[in-house]
Amino acid sequence: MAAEMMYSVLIVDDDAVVRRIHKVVLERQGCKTTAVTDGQEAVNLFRHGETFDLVLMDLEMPVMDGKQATLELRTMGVKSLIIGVTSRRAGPEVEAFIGAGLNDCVEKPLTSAKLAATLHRLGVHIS
Amino acid sequence: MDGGVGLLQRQLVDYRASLFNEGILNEQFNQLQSLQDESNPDFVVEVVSLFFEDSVRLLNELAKSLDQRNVDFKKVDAHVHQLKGSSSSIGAQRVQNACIAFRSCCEEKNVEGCLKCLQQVTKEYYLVKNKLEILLKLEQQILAAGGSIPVQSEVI
Repeated sequence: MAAEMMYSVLIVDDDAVVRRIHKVVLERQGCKTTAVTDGQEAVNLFRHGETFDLVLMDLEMPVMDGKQATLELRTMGVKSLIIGVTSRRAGPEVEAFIGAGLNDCVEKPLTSAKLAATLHRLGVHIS
Repeated sequence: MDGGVGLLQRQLVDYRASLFNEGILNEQFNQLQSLQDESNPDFVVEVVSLFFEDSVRLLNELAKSLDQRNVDFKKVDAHVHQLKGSSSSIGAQRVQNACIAFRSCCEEKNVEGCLKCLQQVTKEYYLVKNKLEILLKLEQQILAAGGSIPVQSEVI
C-alpha cells in the first residue's frame, strides 16, 4: 500500500556514478526510483505503459540524448515532470534542452538541497 | 576511547583536511559521505569504485581515440565530458578541472594539446585514486577497531 503511494522517479543517465548517487539522493527523500542508461530506454519504458511522476534527464547520452528523448516524451503526451540534469552551464544547448519540454534544469552534481529546491519551485511536496 | 583508535581518527581528520586543502577533493565529497547511512553503509566505497572502473575505461578510450590518424574530436569530447561528469559527482576537483582544459583543446581540435591534457587528467586521476584508497582504508581500520568515523565538521 505504502509503496504504491511513493513518488516515482525515472533516472536517465549513462553514467553509473551519477545513477547511483541520484538513486540515493531520491530514496532519501522518500522516492521510488528506476534507472535507465539512455533516452531511448526512457522512451521505451513509457511506450510500454510505465508511468513516473518525475523524470531526471541527462542531456548528453549515447543512442538518444536527453533533448531528443524529452521531445519524444512530450510528443507522446507524457505529462510527467521532466527535470534536466546536466554539467553544461547556461547556453544555447541548455536553452534547446529546456525548449524540448523540460519543467526545469539543474546543473550537476545534483545534491539533496538542489533537488529539494527544484521540487519546491515546481510545487512538488513529497511524503 | 582507545588510544589506537583515537590516533587513527586524528590521522583521518588531518588526511581528509589535506585533500581539501590541496584541492584534490571538494565539498561534493562531503555530500557523498552525508548520503551514507545504515541503509547504504558502503555507499561511498561503492560510488568511488564505480568512479575508478569508469575512469580507467574512459582513459583507455581516450588514449585509443587520440592515437588514430584522423582524430574524432566529437568522440574524444564525449569521453572527456563523461569523465568530467563522474569526477564532479564524487568531488574529484582536480580531475574535473583537468577535464575542463581538455574540452577546450577538443574544441580547438588541437591534437598535441589533447595529448598533454590526457597526460594531466591521467596524472590527476591516479593521484586522487591513490589518496582515496588511503582515506577509505583509514576509515575501514577505524571501524574494524570499533571506532566511529569523525564527522565532517571536524574537517572544514
